[in-house]
Amino acid sequence: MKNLDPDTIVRQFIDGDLSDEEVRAALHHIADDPEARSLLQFELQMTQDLAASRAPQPASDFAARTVEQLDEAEAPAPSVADRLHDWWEALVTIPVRPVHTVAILALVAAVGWLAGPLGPSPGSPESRTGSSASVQPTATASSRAGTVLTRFVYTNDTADSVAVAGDFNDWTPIPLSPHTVNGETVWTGLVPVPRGEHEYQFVINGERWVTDPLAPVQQDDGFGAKNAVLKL
Amino acid sequence: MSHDAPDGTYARRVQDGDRSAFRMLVERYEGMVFDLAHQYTDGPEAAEDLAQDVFLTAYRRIDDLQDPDRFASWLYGIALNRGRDYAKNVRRDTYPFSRSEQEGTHIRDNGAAQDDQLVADERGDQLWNALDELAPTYATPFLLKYRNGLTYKAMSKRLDVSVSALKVRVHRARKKLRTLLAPYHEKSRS
Repeated sequence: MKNLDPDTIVRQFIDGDLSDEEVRAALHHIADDPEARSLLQFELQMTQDLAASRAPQPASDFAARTVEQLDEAEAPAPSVADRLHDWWEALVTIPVRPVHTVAILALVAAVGWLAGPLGPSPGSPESRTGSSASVQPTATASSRAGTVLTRFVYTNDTADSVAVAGDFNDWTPIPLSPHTVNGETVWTGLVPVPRGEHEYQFVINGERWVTDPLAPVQQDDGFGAKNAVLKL
Repeated sequence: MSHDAPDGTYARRVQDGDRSAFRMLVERYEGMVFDLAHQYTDGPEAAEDLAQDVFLTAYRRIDDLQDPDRFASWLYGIALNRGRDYAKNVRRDTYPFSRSEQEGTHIRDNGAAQDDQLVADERGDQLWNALDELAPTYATPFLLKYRNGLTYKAMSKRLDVSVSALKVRVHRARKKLRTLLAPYHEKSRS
């Protein structure tokens, strides 16, 4: 052991490669060698730091629930059109997570050259989507000539339909499209919204009007409920 | 099939369409993936969502895994990438609000005792940032040893890599971490 460098001695000590007698010799060596002491000290500190940052353990049924999700994972590969659509959405969408129960809806930048004049043309990906909002809202956009494509997102597993209505569309509900994400039904869609301040609500099953629970700003709608406020 | 068969055995079965074999792989690596997911998210629910996303991504791409015996490091790479994507797309948008409010309250409640926790958190962050720099081949056995508490012998069975090779990999991981963290540790001591 005398000929071994501090790094090797400490490694063997840590890995339990030494006999009892060799452990005693190693400890003497480490005690006498500042570099070996430093290496062992690092090991102890690292172990403590790792232990201190231990993450919560996965739930006991995590594996079972994950395997249940495999059906979705086995979905057929998306078509080229779907991929282009996904690419477009990825390009223009900024997801926002809830902050407590309040939060969001905002967004976006100018990607006018992708948007086309004054919003989507008939048949474009944007015009096919609907929207709704709730647990994980996001907003979106491409803008040109004062119009911003805004993404509305609403998570609801029980609704048959979700739409968004606001002063930007004369309060005519625009349907959102359902997507299954991590086992949840997420209703989403892109809506061209003129720049400025707007109010909106979500419409569940065509009859129940609800305030976006994550909108950071809300105000009375004059009928005893609240509209979410969107500023673009 | 025995439950201590190497990862490659299960991964090949998944590639052959045996979905049940994937569950064993999830159970083996849920701890490691949760650990990583936790570093990129703000709470247990988000960490679980991200961890599940990692496994589903691995399942979808299982045919891309050319060497099934390297499932663990391949999965680790996926977890890193998904975590980084998550951090880029989500965390930065929300972290300042929710986290600072909670921490602000906590600090008021606990006073000076909070200092130690803050230092520990900072050290933990530094360590995980350094781990992020390691190649999956080194980081995987390192985490299995230090976080999951696996012996080299158990790791060897899973990964189908010799004990001596695993010791070398863990040692290299340790050395690399030491190099990466040296400036921080020197600063702490000064």
